[in-house]
Amino acid sequence: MYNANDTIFAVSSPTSDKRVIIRITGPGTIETCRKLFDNQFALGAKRSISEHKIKIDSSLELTALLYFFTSPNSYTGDDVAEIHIYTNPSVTEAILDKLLCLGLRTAEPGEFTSRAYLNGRMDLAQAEAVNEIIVSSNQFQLSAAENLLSGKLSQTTEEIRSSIMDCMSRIEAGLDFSGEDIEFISRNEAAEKLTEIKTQLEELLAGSIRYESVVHLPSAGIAGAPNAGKSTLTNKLLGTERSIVSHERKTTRDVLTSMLNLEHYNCVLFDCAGLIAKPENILDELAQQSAIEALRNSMVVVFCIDISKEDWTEDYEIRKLINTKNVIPAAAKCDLAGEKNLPALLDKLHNIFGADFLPVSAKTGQGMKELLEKIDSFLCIKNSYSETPLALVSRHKKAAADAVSNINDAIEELNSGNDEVSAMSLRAAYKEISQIEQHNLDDQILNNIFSRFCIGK
Amino acid sequence: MPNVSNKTKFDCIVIGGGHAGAEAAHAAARIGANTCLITISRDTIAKMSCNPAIGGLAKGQIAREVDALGGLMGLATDATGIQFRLLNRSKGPAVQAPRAQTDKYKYKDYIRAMLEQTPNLTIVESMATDIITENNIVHAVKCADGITYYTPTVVLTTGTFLRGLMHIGTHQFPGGRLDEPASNELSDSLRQIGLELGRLKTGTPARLDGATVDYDKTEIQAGDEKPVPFSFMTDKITQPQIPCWITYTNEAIHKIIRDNLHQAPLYTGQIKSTGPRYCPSIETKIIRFADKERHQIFLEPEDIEKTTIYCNGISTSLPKNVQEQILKLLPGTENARIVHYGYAIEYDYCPPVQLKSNMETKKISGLFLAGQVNGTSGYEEAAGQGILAGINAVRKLQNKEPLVLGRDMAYIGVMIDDLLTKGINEPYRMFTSRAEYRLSLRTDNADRRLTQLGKSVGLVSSDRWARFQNKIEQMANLKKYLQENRTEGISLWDRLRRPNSELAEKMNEDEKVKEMKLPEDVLYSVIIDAKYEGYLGKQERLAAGMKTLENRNIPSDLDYNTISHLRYEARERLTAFKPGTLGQASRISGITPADITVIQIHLKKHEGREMKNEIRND
Repeated sequence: MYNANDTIFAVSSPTSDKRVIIRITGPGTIETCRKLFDNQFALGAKRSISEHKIKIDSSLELTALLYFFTSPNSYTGDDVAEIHIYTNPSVTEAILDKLLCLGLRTAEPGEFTSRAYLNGRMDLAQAEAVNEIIVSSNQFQLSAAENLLSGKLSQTTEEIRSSIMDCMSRIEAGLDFSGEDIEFISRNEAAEKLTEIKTQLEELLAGSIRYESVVHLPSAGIAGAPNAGKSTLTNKLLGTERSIVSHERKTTRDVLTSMLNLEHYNCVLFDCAGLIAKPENILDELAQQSAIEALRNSMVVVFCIDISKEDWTEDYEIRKLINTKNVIPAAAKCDLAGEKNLPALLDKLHNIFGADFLPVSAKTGQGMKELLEKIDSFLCIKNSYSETPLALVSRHKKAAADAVSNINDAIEELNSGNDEVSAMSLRAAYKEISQIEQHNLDDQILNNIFSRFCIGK
Repeated sequence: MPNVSNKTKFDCIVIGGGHAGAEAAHAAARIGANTCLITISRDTIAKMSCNPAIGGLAKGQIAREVDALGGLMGLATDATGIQFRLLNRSKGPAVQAPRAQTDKYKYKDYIRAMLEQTPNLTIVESMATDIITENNIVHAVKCADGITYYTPTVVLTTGTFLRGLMHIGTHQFPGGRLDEPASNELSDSLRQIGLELGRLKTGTPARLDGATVDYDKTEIQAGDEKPVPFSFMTDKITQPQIPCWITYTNEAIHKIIRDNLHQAPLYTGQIKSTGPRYCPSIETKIIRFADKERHQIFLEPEDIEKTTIYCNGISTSLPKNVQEQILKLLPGTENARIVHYGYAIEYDYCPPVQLKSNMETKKISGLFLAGQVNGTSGYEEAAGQGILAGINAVRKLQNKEPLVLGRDMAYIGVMIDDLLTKGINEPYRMFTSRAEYRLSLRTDNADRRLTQLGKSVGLVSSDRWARFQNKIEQMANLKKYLQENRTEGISLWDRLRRPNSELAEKMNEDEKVKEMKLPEDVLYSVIIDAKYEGYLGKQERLAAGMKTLENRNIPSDLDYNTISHLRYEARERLTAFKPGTLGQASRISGITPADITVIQIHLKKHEGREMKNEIRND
C-alpha cells in the first residue's frame, strides 16, 4: 500500500522528440518548485504555465516550462507540477537526483492514478481506462480505452447491475414479506429474467475475449541467410540505427526486438540471426534456435534473400525452416542487381521458391513503402473487428465470468426451491459486477490494479 | 454525598418496563447486580402496545436468540401463545420463523411474575424524570415523586414515552401510550446531559369487542396443528389454540378514506416525523397503491376468550367517526363495538450513532439505551437490545469485556451494528435480508450460537445448560451415525445433503435412528445442518472481505481531521460516528471505499511509525 502523504515524482516516457516531462504531486509540490527554481516560483491561479531557469550545476542552466495545477483541480486532486525540458538523459538524471535530495520519492507504478482514485477524481473503471490508454499500442485499443473512459463500460454494467438488483430484491421480498398477499416474482419468472441477464453478461464477455487477444502486440520477424541484408532492412524499416550492420556474416547473434510503427498497428519487429542450413558450432545452433522461436511467434515473417548473389541454394534450404503461415518474400539489395536484370532475376526466384518476391533496397528505398504496407495488411487481417468491444482488462473479464457462474447457481437453486441460497448467489453476482466500478473494499485488488499502471499519467 | 439508604442505592437501574426493560432488568439481576426496575405501573410491564403477537420473519429468529441467551420472551410466548404458525414453510429453513398470537393479558402477567421472582430485582412504581450525571458519568435517577435512586449504571428503555404526542384525527394530545402519560421531563433531562434526540412516528389500529364481531363473514386462518415452540426449554405447547380471521377492505372503504384525507394527520402536515415504510397506515396504503382493489385485514384475538380483537392491517390516525365508518363497511365488523380507537404517536428517540457497541452512550459513561428509544420498532428488536444492554451494564460494573455479538453470530448483532453505523431514517425493523450470514443465523441453531455465551456471562440457568449439553451430544451421535453408514456406497449424511433429500423426510423410518429416540428438534437441526453444509463455504467467502476490515480496530482517539487525504464530508461523518473498526466505518452511509482505503493507509503509516519508534527505543 502506498503512502498517500508523500510527495512523489515520475518521468513520463519520452516521446519521439527530445522533450522530457517530470511530474510531481503531493503535499510538498509547491515547496519543491520553490526550491527547484530558486524562489522564482509563485503560486498562481488554478492552472498556470510559466518559464523558469533551472540550475543543473555551476556551468549548466536550462530553461524549463512549468505547468502548475493547484489542488483539487489537477489530475491527482493534489497539487501537480509538470516540468517540461528539452534535454538529454544525463541532465534528466541530474534533475531527478535533485528531487530525491529534496525528500521526494519516485512514484510506484500507477501511483498518480491511484491518488486520483483515492481523491475521488475518477472511479476505478476510469482509472483502469487511463492505464489502457497508456499501454494502448494501436488505434483500435485506443478507441476501446476511450470508450471505457467515457463511461460506456460503466453504463453497460450499471444496466446489468440494476437488473440483478431488481430481480434480487424481488426474491428477497418474497423471503421477508411472504405474509403479504402479493407475489413479488414467481420462481419461473425470476429464472427467466436471470437467464436474460446471463446472456447480456456472456455477450459482454465475448467482446472482452476478442479484445484480450490484441492487448499483446502482434509481431513481425525478419529472416534470411546470414548477410542477406536483414539488419540493414530492419534499420531502414525502423528509421533508426537499431541493428549493428557489418559485411561480416553472422553479425546479428541475438534476436533484436524493436517497435515498428505502421499506419494501423504497432508491432514488435524481430531481427534474427541469419539462419544457416547446417549450423557449424554450438554458438550457431543457439542463435538459430532463438531465431526460429522468435519467427514461430511472429504473425508475419519477411523472408529476405540477397538478390545480387545469384545462388540461392542455401536460401532455399533456409526457407524450409520458416513455418509461419504469413510470409512476405523480399529480394534485398536490388540496387546491386541493376534495373535491367531485375525482372529476369525475379522470374528466376519465382521458379525456385514458387512465390513472387518484392524487390527492396535499403539503399535507394525502393519497395520499402510496399513492404510496410504488406506487414500492416497482414496484421489487419488478423485483427478485423466489426465493433469496438467493451470489457477490457482481465479483472473485468473475471468479474463478469464469476457473475455468470453465480447467476447460473442462482437459477439452479431457484429451480430446486432454495430461494434463500439463490439470493446469496445473486448477492455474489451483484458484488462481482459492482467491482467493475469502485465499490471495492479489498485493498489487495486495489494494489493489483494499480501495480499495472505505468508511472505518470 | 447525601446519606443514601440501601433502599435507594442500586448497581443498575432500568427505566421502563417494556420488552427491552423487562429483559434488561431480568438479565442484570440474574447475573447478580442489585437491580431496580422503575416503571410507571407494575401492571403495564411487558404490555403489548400494538400487535398481540411475537415472532415473524427475522423477528422469530431474534426471539429465539433472546431465549438462547437466557431471556424471558420465548418462555412467556410458549406459556401464553394462542395461535402458533411457522412462517415461510415453502422456503428454506434459514428463512423460516415462528410466529405466535399470544394472550396479551396473560403475557404481561407472566413476565411480571418472572420479574417478581427474580432475585436481586426491585420493582419501583414511579416515573423517572431526571438522569443525574457527574462529569459525564451516571450518578443517579430522580423520580417524579421526589425520590432519588443512586446507581453507576442506567439502562434507559423509554419506548414511545419521551415527549409522546398522540394523534387521532385533528385531535392531538400528549401521551406515552393509550391512557398513559408522556415523559416530557426525562426527555429534557437527556438533552441537558448532552444527548441529541430525534423524532419518529408509529401507529396502531383500533381494538374491537370480540363478542360483537361476526366471524362467519370472514375467512378462518388456523394455526399449525403441531405448534413449534419458541423456547429451547419448551418440549410441547399444551394450552388450547384458536384461529385468526381474515377479511378484506373494499372500494367503499377506500372512498371514505380518500374523502377524509383532509382530516388525516399524516397528510395534513400535523405529523411531521417519519413512520415505518413496512408498516404503513391504511390511508398510506390506499394512496400509495391506488390500483389495489382490496387490502387484507387480519382480525387477531388479543386473548383466548376473544375479549378484544386487534385489526391488523388497518393502523390509522383518522378521526374516530371515520374509523367507525370504515369498520361499519368491513365484512365481519359491521356491528362491532370499538374498545380503543387507532392512533398515531410521535416520540423522541436517541439517534443510535451515539452508542458504543456495548449499547452505552459515547457521551455519558454508564448510560445504556435499548429498544424504541434507539429508533427501532418491534418487541423482539427491543428484547434483543434489552438483554444485551442489561448484560453489558453489569459487565461494565464487573470491569469485564462487553458482550458484543458479531454480524456472523446473531441477528441481534446485525441489528446493533446497523444501528451504530447506518443511522435511522424510519423505525428500524429486522429483515432476514439485512444479514450477510443469513444461512447460518437460523432459529434451529440459535442455542448453538448463543447459549454458551449466555452461560459465560452468567445468564443461562443450570437447567438450560444441561438441556443444551444433552442436545449437542444427541446431535453429535446422530451425525456420527449418518456419516459412518452408507447405502449404495453413499453415506447417509451425503444423501441428506442433496437437494430435496428423501432421507430428510423419512429419517424416523430408519431403525437405528428410531432406537436413538431423539427429540424432533435434534433430528430437525441435523437435517438442516446437512442441507446448508455445502453453502456455508460460499457464504464465508462472500463475507470474507468484510471480516478482514472487521478485525482492524480504529483507535478511539483518531483525529480524522489530521488525515489530509480524507474528504471533508467523510471527516465529518466519521468524527460523528466514531466507528470502532474499519468494518463499522465501511458501513456508515456516505463513506466510500476510497475513504476506507485512505484511513487504512493512514493507520498503516501510523503503525509503521510506532514500529520504527519501538525499534529506536530498543
